[in-house]
Formats: sequence, C-alpha cells, structure tokens
Amino acid sequence: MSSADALQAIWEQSRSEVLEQVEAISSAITDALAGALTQETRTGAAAEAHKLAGSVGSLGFGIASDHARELERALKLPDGPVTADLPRLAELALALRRELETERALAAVIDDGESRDDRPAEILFVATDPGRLRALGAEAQLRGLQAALAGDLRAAQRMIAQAFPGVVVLQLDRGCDQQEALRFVSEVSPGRPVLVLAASGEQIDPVELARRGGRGLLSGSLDPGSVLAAALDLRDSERVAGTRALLVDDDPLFLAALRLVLERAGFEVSTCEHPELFWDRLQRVRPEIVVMDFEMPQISGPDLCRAMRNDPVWARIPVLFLTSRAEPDAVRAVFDAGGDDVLTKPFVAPEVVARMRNRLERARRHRSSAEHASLSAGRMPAGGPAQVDVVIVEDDAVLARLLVHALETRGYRTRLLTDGELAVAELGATEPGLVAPLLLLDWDLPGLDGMRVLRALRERGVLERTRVIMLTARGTETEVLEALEGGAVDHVTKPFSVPVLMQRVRRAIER
Amino acid sequence: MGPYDEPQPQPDVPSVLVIDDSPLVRRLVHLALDEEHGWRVHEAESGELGIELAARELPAVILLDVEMPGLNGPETLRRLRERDDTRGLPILFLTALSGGVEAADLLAAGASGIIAKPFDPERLATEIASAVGWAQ
Repeated sequence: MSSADALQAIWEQSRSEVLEQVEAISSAITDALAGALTQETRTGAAAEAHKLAGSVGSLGFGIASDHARELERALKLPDGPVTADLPRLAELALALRRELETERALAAVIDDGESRDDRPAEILFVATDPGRLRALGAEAQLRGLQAALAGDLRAAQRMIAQAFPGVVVLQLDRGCDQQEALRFVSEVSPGRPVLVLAASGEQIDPVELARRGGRGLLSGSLDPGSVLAAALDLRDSERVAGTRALLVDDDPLFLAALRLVLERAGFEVSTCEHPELFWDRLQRVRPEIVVMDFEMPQISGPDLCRAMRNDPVWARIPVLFLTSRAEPDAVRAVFDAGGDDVLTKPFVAPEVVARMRNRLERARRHRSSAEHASLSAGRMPAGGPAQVDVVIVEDDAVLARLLVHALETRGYRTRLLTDGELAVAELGATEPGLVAPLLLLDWDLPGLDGMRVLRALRERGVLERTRVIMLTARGTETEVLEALEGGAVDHVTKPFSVPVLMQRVRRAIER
Repeated sequence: MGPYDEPQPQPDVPSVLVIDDSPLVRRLVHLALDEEHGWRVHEAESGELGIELAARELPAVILLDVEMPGLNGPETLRRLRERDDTRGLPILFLTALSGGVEAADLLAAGASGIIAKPFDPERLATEIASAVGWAQ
C-alpha cells in the first residue's frame, strides 16, 4: 500500500469522527450566536478544536488546522468568544467544514502526484477473470456509469475505501475461496448491496450468503447488460446511504444500539437523548427521517410529532415511533399525531431498516410528485400570506443561523426555509403563504437548486415584488451572469463579510 | 541527568507507545512508524491505560498527548516518573501547543522532548530519533 493509499485509508476511517468534531464546534458557535452557549458546550468544543488543530494537518489539511486553532483560541478565552467576533468565528467554522467535507485526504491527493477522477464509482466489479472484468467495465462505460474494477478481494476492499461504490458485483469464479468471499460479503455489505454471480457448477449456499448480507445470487454466465441492470435495480431499491436519520430516545443504551444498526445499514445517524433539545437537533441535523420513542419524560413522542407536523419545514419528514406497548391506544395516538409507522421494542434490526426504507421511498415519491405539481400548477392551500422583510433559503444550519442573527439584530423580520422546493411553494403559489421584499437564496441547495428556484419564481411573477440576492460558494463570472440574467438583483460569494452583506440587504430593500 | 544524555544506538526494531485519546492521531502514528519503518507501535487511548501498557511493554519511547479526558498528559508523565519500572523511559509530548500550555512547563515536568502537532508522518521517525538522541 503506498503512503498515499495509507493516508487515504486513515482519512476514510477518521472522516466521520472528524466531522463530528467539526459539528461540535459549529454547534457551540451556533449556540453563542443565539446567546445560549453554556460553559460545558464551550469547554467540549474547545477540546474538539484542539484535537482537530493537532490532527488534520498531518493529513494535509493545513488550512483547516489553522482554522481549528483560531476557533480553539476564541473558545478558550476566559469569558468565551467575544460577541463582536462571532460572525467571523461562524465563517471560520463553515470554512473548516468545507475544508474537511472532502472525500479525499489532501495529503493523499498530493502524494499521488497524478490527477484522479474524484467522482465516486457507482459500481464496483470484482472478478478474477480479466476478460469478464473488462466486459463488465465496458458495459458500464457504455451506459455512462463510473465503474471500478478489482481483480481480487484485497483490491476490491481498497477500492471500496477509495471509491465508495453504491453497489458491488462479485463474480465467484471456479476455484475461488468461498469462505474468503463470504467474509468479504459480510464486511462490505453494511452500507452497500452486494450482488453475487456464481459460475455454473460453483456451489454456494444461498442461505449462508443471505445471512452474510449478500443481496442477490445470479448465474455467473449472465450477459454484462443484464448484470448491470440487476445491480442498478438493487442499488436503487436499497439507497439509504447517507440518509440523515435522527433518533430520539431518553435511553442512551437504546440509542447506541439503534445507531449501530442504522449506521451499518448506511444511514448517517444523529441522536437526541434529551427531548427538550429536540428542536435544536432537528434544525442542526435536518433529518430526512426521524425515529422517536413513544414515551419520554417531559414531553411525549406524539407531542413532538404533532409540533413537527404544524411546521411546514418538517411537516413531510417521515416519523417512526418505537414503543414497548403495542396497545391499540398507543398506535392510535401515533397516527393521530401524524406519525407514519409504529415499531415495538425490542426491535428486530432488519425490520427497522426495512420499514425506514419503505417510508423514505414513499416520501421521495411523494416529494417528486409534489414538486411536479407545484411547478406545473403553482397551487397552494388558501390562507393569508405571512409578511416578513427577508426570506432566507439556506440549507446550511450554521450559515442560516448566522444570517438570521445578523438580520434580526438589525431589526429585520426573517423567515428561514431550508429547501428550494418549499421556497417555490411558499413564495410562488397563486395564493402565496409568504410575502417578502427580499430573498437571500443559496445556490447549492439539495433537490431544487437556487437557480431553478430563481427561474421558477420569475415564471410566477414573484420577482416583481421580491428582490433576490444569490449566495454562492463559487462566484465565477458565468455564474454571476447567470444569476443576474436569471433575475437576481445582486450576487454574493461565500464566504462573505456580514457587514458588507447587510449593506447590500439594506440597499436591495430600499431600492 | 538521565541515562539518555549520551547518544544511544537506535534499537533495531524500536517499540513506541502512543498515548492519545484521538484515534486519528493513533492511526497516523501507526502509519508513520509501523507501516513506513517497521517499528512496533503500541497504542493507549488514555493516561491510565498508557501507564499499564508502559509498565508491561517498557517501550523504547513514549509519545504522550497533553490534553486528554481523565488523566491528562502532565499527570500521566508524573505517574510514569514515580514508578521504578517506567521512570527512565524517554517520554516525548506530542502536542499542539496552545491553550496556555508552554513548552518550557512540559520540559520542566520531566519530558524528554516535544513533537509538535500536527506532525508530518514522513518525518515523525526522524524527529523521534533526534528528540530521544538516538545515534543515526
């Protein structure tokens, strides 16, 4: 293994833990912006910043290391960060995350000395027969898919760490070590489906394969086109990798157990042990699915769920309940509160994962049809519009908090929306739910991106009453032009200076 | 004056104990010393475990983090220096100097040297050898 590969492997192993450290720092800064930074959070965040400053530099992230050191210094001041510094610290925390969200360790990229395709592979083929491997690779290429090819299991493991394939196809050729192959399947199947192709005459126990997490067994002589189709079907049916799940339970042990199960299935898991902190976690995590305990001290699961359903931002997120009492009353309470499903404790791991997958699948389908409906008809339920000064469409919780803070301390009324689809629905409906003279619109939104939101708003005549300032991380000449031609009145590149942005906000509103 | 004031030959396969609560740092040390140079690397995630492992393995050198939950670096160092079996082991602090901890204080506490974090994995072995005074 080259030193570049080794550094990359270390980065793979450590990335989530590093991002958790970044999250702890961001949370502390977010709390400080809200005037709610506790001594405990501050000490914890300072310790994480110290660790980051001392570690990530070794992986080539020198700038991130410097940012972490500066944040550490500010958090360790006797009275905590100085209020006037907070906007800058928030920008540093964001920059830190941007630096570290990368999938390639910088040291590994530099060490390689050659340009690599950074796109993660969509599919990994593993076969000892070079001819078969080439045929499968060629088929993928023909269909415009990014494929990685491995000639043995060790190479396959390395590629999984580097290329994050969404699905693995393992061809078991005659004479291969079946035990080793099964071990490989158990190791890589959490998080990505493995399809096994067995050569004719090669005995493989389908029950054992399924037990190890293998998701399909097909004939080894299947033509490459059919192999690819089967693999992609499998991948699409199981796509939960990176789905943000928020688990809410006052029992830490239970949280830890469920976290383990869901992380193995590929979810990106956040937990909330204190129901009173639920809203805060919700804002930060922006989960795509929530699993919560039915009974918790202080506040019950159904109460939390009902409150979510009343907020347009969270109204459509699937919520599953876990309860130790599967009585009809409890089940009714869950559905009355707008819950989507009920599971009983103790839970069975595959069942939880399968039910979560179902809910997500349905929510996604619902969302795409809702997007279609809202774009084609622009209809919204009746009701008078809410009037604010500035609508912020930004999916990054820290940045959003910074903007809300900066605007509200200057006396503007704000409304935060975390996705583009919602922005179009709220602002662009025939009877809009929200009216504002100014919109701060992030370009890089998940789903409907900022440019598409801008176009949709223009088509609906919203730009006649609302001015738009685009916020982007890129700011190339073409993009600035695209934004301005698309109807934005101004364009600000991130990271931006808050005072300068506030000047532009004032100008845009007064114009 | 300790037993390491005269240059010592570097052991054929130096054994190193890294005491650091960050798994990332431990992995990096492992890569830099074991995978690149074939050194034997022992790892401990806390001061308490570090002392136990130091007494059992008597490594050629100990790399010690400063800020750790539980027993911190200086306190771990003090306890290692109190024990007969670990008293003479060379101990290097591996630390991002900041937060009021000064290099002079760490040396005064009995450390043999300091290696700054973040370290360059390619140079770590050389830095250790030079800090401990191994003849190259």
